Amino acid sequence: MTRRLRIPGLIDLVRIDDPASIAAASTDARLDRDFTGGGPLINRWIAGRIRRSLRTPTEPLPSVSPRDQPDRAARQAALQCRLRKLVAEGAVAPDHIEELAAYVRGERHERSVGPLVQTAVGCLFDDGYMATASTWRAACVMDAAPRNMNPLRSLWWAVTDAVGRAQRLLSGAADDDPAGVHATAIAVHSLVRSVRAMRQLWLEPGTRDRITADAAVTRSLRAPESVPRRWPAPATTVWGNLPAGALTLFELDKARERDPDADITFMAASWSHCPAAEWTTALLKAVWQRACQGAAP
Amino acid sequence: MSISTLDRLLGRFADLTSRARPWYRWPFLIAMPTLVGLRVNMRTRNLFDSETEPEPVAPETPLDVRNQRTIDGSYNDLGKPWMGMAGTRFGRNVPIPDSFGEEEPGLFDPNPRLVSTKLLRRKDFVPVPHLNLLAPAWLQFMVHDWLSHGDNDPAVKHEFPVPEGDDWPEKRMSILKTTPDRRRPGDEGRPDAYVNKETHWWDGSQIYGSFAARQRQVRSDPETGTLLADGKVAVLPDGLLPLHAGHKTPGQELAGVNGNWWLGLSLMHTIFAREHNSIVDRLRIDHPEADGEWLFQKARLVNAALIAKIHTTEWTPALMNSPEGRLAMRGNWWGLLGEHFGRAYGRVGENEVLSGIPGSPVDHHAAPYAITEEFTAVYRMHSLIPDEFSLRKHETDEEVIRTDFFGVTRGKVRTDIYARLPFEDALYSFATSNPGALVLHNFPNGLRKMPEAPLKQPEHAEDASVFIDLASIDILRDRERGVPRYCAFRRHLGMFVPKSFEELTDDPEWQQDLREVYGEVEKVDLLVGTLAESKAARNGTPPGFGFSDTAFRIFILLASRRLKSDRFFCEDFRPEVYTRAGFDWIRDNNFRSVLERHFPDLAVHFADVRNVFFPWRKGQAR
Repeated sequence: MTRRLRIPGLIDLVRIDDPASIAAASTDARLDRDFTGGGPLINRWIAGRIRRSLRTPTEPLPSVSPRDQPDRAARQAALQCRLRKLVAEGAVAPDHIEELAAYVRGERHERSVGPLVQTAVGCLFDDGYMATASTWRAACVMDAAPRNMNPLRSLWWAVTDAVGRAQRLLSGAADDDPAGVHATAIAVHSLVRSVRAMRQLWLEPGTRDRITADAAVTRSLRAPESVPRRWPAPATTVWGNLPAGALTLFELDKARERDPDADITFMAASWSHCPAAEWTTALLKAVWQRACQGAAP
Repeated sequence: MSISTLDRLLGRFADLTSRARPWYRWPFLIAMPTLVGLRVNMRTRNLFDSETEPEPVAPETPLDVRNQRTIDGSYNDLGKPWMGMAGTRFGRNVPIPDSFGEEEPGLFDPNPRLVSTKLLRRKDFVPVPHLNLLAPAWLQFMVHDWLSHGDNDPAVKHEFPVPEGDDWPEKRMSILKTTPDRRRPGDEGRPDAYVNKETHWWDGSQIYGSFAARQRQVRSDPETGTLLADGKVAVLPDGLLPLHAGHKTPGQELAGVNGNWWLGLSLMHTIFAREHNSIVDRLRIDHPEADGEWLFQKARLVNAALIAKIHTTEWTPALMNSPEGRLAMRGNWWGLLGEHFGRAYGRVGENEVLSGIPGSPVDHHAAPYAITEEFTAVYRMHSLIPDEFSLRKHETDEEVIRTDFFGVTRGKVRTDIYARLPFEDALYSFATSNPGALVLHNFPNGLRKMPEAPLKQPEHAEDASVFIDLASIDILRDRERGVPRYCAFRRHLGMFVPKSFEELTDDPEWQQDLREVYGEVEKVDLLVGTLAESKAARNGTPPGFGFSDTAFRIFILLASRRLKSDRFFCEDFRPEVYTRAGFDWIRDNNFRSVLERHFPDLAVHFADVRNVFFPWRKGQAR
């Protein structure tokens, strides 16, 4: 389904949750992640928040880097290559699988999942990464900042520079690697929701005895709820004529319910694909299998 | 797909009211918008497509696809001609990732035979006093129109041990697996999908067949094998269906779909074969120059629409015998403005709520049209069938034949029943008998130990040594096809989910039975849960309903979808396509008038009943 919210001069926002439309739009060369420039008033405000929130102290996160940014594609490919190698070697977060499996089995507190997953992800960028309550809170702030509609919270964050502090904290923890900051601040939330879903699946009586590991992964895997894109120039589309600065949100997690393929969950067929697709799937599978191995008879 | 502001508001309203209590526990004026809102929500949240790349391809056809239904159901949607075609996949009502088929060992937990014996086996026949046996006959008549999973591969079986102390002849039970569709490149990471061998549309394919060869058979003279030139379907001079030439079962009648044949199906098929021919006769008056092919195609359109109308405005309201149920279903056809307003003034705009779905624009909502696996699952209603049949003369109500279910199946319909009892009396007998209730402990025992030999080798019926337990099969089918169990199913529909057996059903004995078999309420199978909720006052079967609220949710979605997706019920539901006479035929007829036309001698028995699916008045004993 596609919904367009349009008040000329004020807002122009297209939300898509249909897999075929997302697949088509994500290959549209006119859509980009460049959140600078003009457009309807509220669009400019949203784009500004995305620009200010999703960055390290020095540069934008890869998830909001324009398509033609120097080195973007090369860095993406290098990270994908490195993570694929880990999968091929069977070294997908070996030090963290057991703890995550224990969480899935219900042997750890519900609240422990955030730091647990953040540590597993952070260690991909810094061997000694150790998530704390502070880093997890910072990740929650960075993730919520672009979407926050609560004026009081915005005011409080502005006064306390919460977003800036979160960026600095997570950037320092990830060795100033923008991909590491994106992984431990933004992408980590999809993985946390996936592990939570896996725990629910595990705790549902009888379910674990009637599904395969692959099915468990497919049922648990969660995609980002929404991924923003911007039309830098006026465009004629199937949704009508869009002005420069119009925004499009890919509602990937809703689309995943219709098509659980990697092309949707990780936008695997797009230039902006997630480089950690194989690693994420392999991690979840390993966690499920370890949970099964460690289950009480 | 886009949602109007009104629909969005109704959807929110339904979410709000459903949080407090189910729709039927609200006053009428709140219950009705809640029902409409529930349908809006399900159209958005509970329709999923299982087709993947490469999509099916509709064959080229020389037919006039704008004005007639194709045999295989293709070209109903002219943008996606394969949609709803025979051989395309069943859709889903739950998200694709949640529809993986169950695997061993959980597939057999609890043992399907244990469920069959401890929870489904009929102890004493529990009837539905307000319905007659035409209701289950009609149900199967419809199901054969909509769906079939086809034959299973005899080489691929589920095998599991039979519980200790069971009287099953073998120590292990084996049930053939449903054959999934071949995997396609686009299926990676997705569960198996299954193919519907019939057309998905409400197109009378159970009468006319979904394949050219079968349609030619039902349209051919049984003596000569030549196509009937007058556009009629084959009916013998005595009004019965012709026999299926070359069929392995002697006495098997011919129809578009004639599997699992029994007297109930024979009655319905015969009535609507005759109705087709009556429609042809009527059309020929206005179109004397028309050829047989044209007459056949127009009569088919009209007959299929009449059947859809009867199902929507008579059968379903009989099973949903409450003010809300009646209005909901009649509203699907005529809208809130009602039949009389529509007859006087026609449609008011395109809105389906005001003027009904027929004549409104096509809308597939969130997925291309297809019958769904979950719909198949909630239509498992074998408990409606009694174990004993009393066949009586309509004049005196004198019993002529008393037999078990197998006495009214397959070829015996002709060799044993119609040979001793006129068709009218068989029809009368069904109309004056009650079906079984959809409750626990009411599954016909004849179906729980069906000799396979009479089905496969009819000439050796007495030598039966292999049996089928249809109750076990029903349980296993839902599990293998990935239909969620009861609690998960209700969760997907946004319904109240019981946390204990006490919340599932009010009957203490049932609670105990369920606890012994399942241990945990989350494990309860969908079929068992829907039967158990028949005795749950707070969140169970709505008052007056013959089936569960869980099943009803799927029905309100699919009952309207079968109409709303079909071009011949929407924008092409007009006299230009149906002919003026055909269009009026649909408007002016119902099941009562069909019966009056073909069986005037029986009219005295149903003259007083509000709905002909209610029990008819019995003949006077001399």
